[in-house]
Amino acid sequence: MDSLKSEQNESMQTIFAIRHLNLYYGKKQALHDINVDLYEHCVTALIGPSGCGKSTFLRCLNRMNDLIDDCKIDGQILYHGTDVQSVNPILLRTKVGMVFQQPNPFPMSIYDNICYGPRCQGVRNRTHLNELVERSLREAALWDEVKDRLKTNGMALSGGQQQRLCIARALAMSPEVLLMDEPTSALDPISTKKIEELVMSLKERYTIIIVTHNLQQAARIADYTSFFLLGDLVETNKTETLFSRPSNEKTERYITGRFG
Amino acid sequence: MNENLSLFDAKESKKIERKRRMKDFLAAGSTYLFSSFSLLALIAILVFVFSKGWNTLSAAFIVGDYNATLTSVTTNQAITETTNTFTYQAKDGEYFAENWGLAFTDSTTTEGNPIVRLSYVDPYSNTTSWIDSNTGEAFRPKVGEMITVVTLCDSPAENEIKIVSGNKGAENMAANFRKYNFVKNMTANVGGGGIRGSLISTLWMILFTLLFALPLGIGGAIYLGVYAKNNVITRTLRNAIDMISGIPSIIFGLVGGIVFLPIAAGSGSSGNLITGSLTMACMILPIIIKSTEESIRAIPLRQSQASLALGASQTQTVFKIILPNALPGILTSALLGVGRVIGESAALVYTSGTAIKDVIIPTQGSATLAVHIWTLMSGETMNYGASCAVSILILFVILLLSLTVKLLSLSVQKKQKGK
Amino acid sequence: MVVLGFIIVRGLKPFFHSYRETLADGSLAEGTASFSYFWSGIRYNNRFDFETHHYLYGIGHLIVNSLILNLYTIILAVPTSVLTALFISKIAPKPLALILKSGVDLLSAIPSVIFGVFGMGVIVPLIRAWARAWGAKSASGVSLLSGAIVLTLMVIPTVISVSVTALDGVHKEQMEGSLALGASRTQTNFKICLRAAKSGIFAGIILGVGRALGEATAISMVCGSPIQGITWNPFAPTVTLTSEMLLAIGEAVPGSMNYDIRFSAGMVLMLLILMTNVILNDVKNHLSEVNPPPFFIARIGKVMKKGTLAVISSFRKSWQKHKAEKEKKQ
Repeated sequence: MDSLKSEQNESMQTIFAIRHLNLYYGKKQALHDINVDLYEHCVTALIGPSGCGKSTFLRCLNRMNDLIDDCKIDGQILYHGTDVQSVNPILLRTKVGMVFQQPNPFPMSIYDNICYGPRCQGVRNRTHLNELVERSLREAALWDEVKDRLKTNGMALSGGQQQRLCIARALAMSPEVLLMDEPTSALDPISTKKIEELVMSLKERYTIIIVTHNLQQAARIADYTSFFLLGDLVETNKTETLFSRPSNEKTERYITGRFG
Repeated sequence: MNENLSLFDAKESKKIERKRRMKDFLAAGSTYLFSSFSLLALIAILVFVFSKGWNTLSAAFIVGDYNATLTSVTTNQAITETTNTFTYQAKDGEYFAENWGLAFTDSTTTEGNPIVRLSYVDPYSNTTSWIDSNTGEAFRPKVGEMITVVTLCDSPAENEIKIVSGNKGAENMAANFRKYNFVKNMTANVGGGGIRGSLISTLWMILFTLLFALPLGIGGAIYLGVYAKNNVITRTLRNAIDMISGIPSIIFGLVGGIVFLPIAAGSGSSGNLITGSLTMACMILPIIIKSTEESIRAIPLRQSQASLALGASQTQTVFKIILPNALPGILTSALLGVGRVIGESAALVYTSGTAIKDVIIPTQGSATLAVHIWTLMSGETMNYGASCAVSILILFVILLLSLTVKLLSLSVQKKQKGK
Repeated sequence: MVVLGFIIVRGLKPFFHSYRETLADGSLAEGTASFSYFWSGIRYNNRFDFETHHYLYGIGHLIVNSLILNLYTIILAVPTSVLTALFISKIAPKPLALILKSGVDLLSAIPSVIFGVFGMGVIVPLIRAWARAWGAKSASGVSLLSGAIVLTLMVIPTVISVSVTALDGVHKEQMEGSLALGASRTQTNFKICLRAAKSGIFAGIILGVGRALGEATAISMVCGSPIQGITWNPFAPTVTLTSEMLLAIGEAVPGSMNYDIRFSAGMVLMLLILMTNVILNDVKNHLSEVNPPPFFIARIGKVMKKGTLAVISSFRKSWQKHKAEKEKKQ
């Protein structure tokens, strides 16, 4: 495995350390012996062809795979040194937020959408919630567009706005990590650009792990990039290194567009 | 670096977590509670109906007449021995006349009036000389027969005559039988309470309803599924059909009463089987049209196009390709319709009368099984045994029907998959 | 439409056609039914008014009682069926859900007479015992509450099956979105699934209310038959539009006032159902849309406002034209 050979930046702190991760859907193995470290306050992009396991891997990080009936996980996913399998998934998910491929705002007002997570954790204080809504929407660069209509239904926004609402919703939980599962694949180029800018600005405060189909996008926004192929983690490296001098032949063939 | 981990064991978060667990438990518990309530209701209905009705349900009940036949009994002989020759351990509520070998109990007629029934007849009871005065044959009293009125006397000379009515109670009846040794004449109610008439009228109703509804429904479905263009008229038609299925049955009863009664029964009549079935046909028409049209639409277009391409006309295609293929759908709808007819009461109360009859003539009003129950239950006193017994029958048939429908749709699905 | 026409024509007949009947005390009555008393009266078969030559048949109390009974039914049926649907769709393990679903299907196939028998045999005695325990007055348990419970049993299969369909249709993404925010399963079920399926659930409730309003047989058995009056007391007997229509129908002579007035009641019932449906559908549309349209009544108001404005403006225009022409002439 090449993953552990990636250049380590000493100043970076590891937030996720994945050791010998194997994942099975029933009898079918979807991930083979994944070993990788993910660093704090970085954007890590996961690239690879469809069905290579990158989304599955991402969903392991906040245990969303628990919801799939016949999904079995071997190995360790250490979050700050603690195995995520041993902690309460609900608390884990408050610290490791997630944004999905399809914008999925809840059928309620923008305000309620953002308050949903905190309210589930028992936050009732009105002024506190108001602050939270404004802060999250500002962070998600949506505040100026919706500040006059916080009571309108979240579904009434445009696709890009919906996705930013979903990001704001995740930010309202003050997570440490933001998992993004192809957040721009359902959006138009302008909305995509906005989301990308947003991601760049968010990495100051959050660790972002983003799955993307789009190699240019990975090159534009990611500090580190991991390449998945058929359930294997082929290579992880600094983005510029991976794209300019890939150490693995498969990676090279993929990024030069010869397959995938 | 372990600072962040404090989240997982902080006191505050534990408190929140406990609170949430509590709330979740209550919320999830409420769904368990209410679903078990729904299930319990069903079980309660079934248990009630079976426990009350099972004993009444018998072959005699199903094929028996509803109206009891009045039999008058005469005799010309006194009992042979006047000593108390018969012994019988009378149960609670039973009164035994030792000299006759007959025991009596209080009961009610199907109309709910008090009456005395025979609850025990000794095999050698002093009734050998009783004669059915209509036929002249020997009359052997049986358990369960009702005694309407009996004239007793002390001797053939009729010095002392006592007329005992059946509604005065069993104790009084037994006391008088003990006192007198000679029966001058007696009126007994034999049988009664059976549902044969209602059963037959239900069958007639089903037959007529299908006769009226199937051609109309299939025709409508073929029109909608094959010929109709997607225009305003078709859409209105579809909306109307949808609306009809939402109209409550009592409104159908009214409409049937207004529209069909004058045509088929003449005004002033409270309906007959034909008006009832015409009304029912209106009610099940939407079911038939919808189900048939669905199965017509499920037929692959290439089949009918192949038929057309071979030079068959549209009509030929309809009759040779579409109808045979839509048969399962038609059958399903017919079965659903039958279920509806069996269970319907409110509409039929208006259009086919509430009278329970034994001789069924389609041009006269008579109650179906469901209306039979309604009539039994809306009297002064309720007859739970009989109505629950009828309910068992209805439930059984409906269960059977819905099972058949399910199997039918399963086989159709299989067939489509096979293709 | 034809049907509706028939009902209206026949329903209006008692108010125009003169009936000649012998009353119970032997006197001869001839006249029509009083229209005003029909709506406002709180006694069904009151008497014949010899001064105005009107039969006094009132159904005002019947309408109100029908609505009250339905209100009680909704209060009982909505939580039961919605929570059961949630259980079937999201919480129950598959075999249990299947059992419950078939049970609900079976319940919906039971004819209403049997519900009536069950109500008489089980629910009415239960209510009687309950009322005794509470020291409330009850006419042997035949009451508003028994009616509401029986109606609830009849309505829940409809509401449950429609709600289950709606809940099954909730997008998985939304549930995942909620779970990813650290909401628990139950929180997701209650806050997201129910909300996302609310318009479907409401459609089920509309169907159920339609069925409950039109139900006659079972109600006539378990609700009793007081002669008059409106009641809110759950332990008191009540009489609704449908049960009054069935009450003593066997004794009503076809062609008589007593028989024909039932058709008028039927017409009112039809209107009532239509109106409830329109209103509830309006609420449903309001719930389901992202940008909800204004309520029906508001829409009517808008149209009227527009119409009035149009009329006024056309008047003003013609007035100005007229004025202009006048000035021209001058």
